[in-house]
Amino acid sequence: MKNLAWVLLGWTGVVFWSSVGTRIGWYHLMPDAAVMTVVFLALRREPLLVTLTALTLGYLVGRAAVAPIGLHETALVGCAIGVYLASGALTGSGAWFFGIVCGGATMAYHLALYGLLWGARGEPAFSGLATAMLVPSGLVTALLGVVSYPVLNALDRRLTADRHEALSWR
Amino acid sequence: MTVLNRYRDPLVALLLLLVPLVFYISNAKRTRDHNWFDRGVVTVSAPVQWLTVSLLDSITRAWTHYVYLVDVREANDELAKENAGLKAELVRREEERLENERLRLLLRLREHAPAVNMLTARVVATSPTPLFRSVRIDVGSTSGVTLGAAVVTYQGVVGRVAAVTSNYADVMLLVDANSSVDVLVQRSRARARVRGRGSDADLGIVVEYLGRTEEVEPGDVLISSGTGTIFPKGLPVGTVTVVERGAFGLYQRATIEPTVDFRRLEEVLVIPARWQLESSYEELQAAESEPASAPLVPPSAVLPTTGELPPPLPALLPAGAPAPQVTP
Repeated sequence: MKNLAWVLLGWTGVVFWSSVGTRIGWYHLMPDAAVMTVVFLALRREPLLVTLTALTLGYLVGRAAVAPIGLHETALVGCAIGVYLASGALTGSGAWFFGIVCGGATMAYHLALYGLLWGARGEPAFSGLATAMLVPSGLVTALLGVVSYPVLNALDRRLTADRHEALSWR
Repeated sequence: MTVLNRYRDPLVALLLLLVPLVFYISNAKRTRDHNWFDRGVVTVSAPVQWLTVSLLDSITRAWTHYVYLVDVREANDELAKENAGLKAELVRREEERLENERLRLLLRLREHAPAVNMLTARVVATSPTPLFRSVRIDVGSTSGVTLGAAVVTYQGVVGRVAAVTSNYADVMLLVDANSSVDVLVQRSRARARVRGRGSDADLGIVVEYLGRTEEVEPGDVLISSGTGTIFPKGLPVGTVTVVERGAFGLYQRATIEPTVDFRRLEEVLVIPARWQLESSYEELQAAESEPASAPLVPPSAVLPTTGELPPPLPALLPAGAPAPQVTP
């Protein structure tokens, strides 16, 4: 159920930003809410939950992009596992740390998409503008990560709140 | 057993990575229509997107028409205030005029086939990832949109419907790498096929299967050939920018600049799939020789400012409709 809440949150972000993208000229320059959600979970949850969330979000993003099945799923799950494994070697916390990891993961995610397309089709059909937007997209996601970290943290606390039970005396 | 328990989670995670990878490798070169689950997701998420876009449009309008005026009032005296109001009104009128012009061009396109249930649609979302070039429009199967339906604007070919739900449809753009359209070189009538490259505008599509001996040069206009009954004949597709003719090979290769600005798609028309050309090939040829059969807009056309409308579209007829009346 908690897993579903994170999927819902990530998907709402993707839906929102894909709509905003139609009304701004530089629509490749969008923060990636799916990556942000997955990174947040990868830094604090067990790998199974993270992977399942990434798989679901990847599926939803892939269908919205009319992409071949498995492409976004593989890239996002790979990204989640990468962040999870890397988090063991990283020492840091807080909004800025989260933002930097988000930015790096977004770039890695887009590079993974590029690599998978290249590997399977021989030609990635990668837009020149999208290539140019790789680093700026990472930066925008990083910025959104910094801003939304307190909100995500509060939501996480709410979702994992301990249930205190009092003894009842007769 | 203990070792297996210890590494259970990472192992399952790796397995979950392999599953989509296998799916991807077996489906890498094709896309499919939405299944019932995808349709459910679109049904839930598309209204949110529609609402977001409407909200953004309202905010933009409010900013242009109200907040801006408030700022001006604070900064100027009564006369300046009135002046600013008039200027804002002018801007609004100009916006309305341009919108009217755009819609009139769309209407003009519709008038050529009144019996065809052409649908006007609004773009409500774009592809969440830049690698795939698709947009979501706010009409679906309940309005008559079917899989494979052609999507156009007054500028030319936009793409075709790749997935459809009851109220929304996903359109694969012409510049998507999976998209291809049969075309004619307008000047020499040579047949070819154009394929997207996933790019935005410049060098967005390439020509394939254009015979080596066919005459084509930079500046030539490509129009839809009308074969396959997806895109009507004569819709502008793009302008040739570069022609590459190697020392060997059966075909030459050309790079095309699309006539449609895919970064600024706001309204589109959807033509239902399986429309039919009633008139014979000879009739079409005769119609094409008339000035009225030129493509809807010249390839380099931008939004007209003089109020002069482009010549009408050639024969685009639904099944059972009478043959086109071409005005000399």
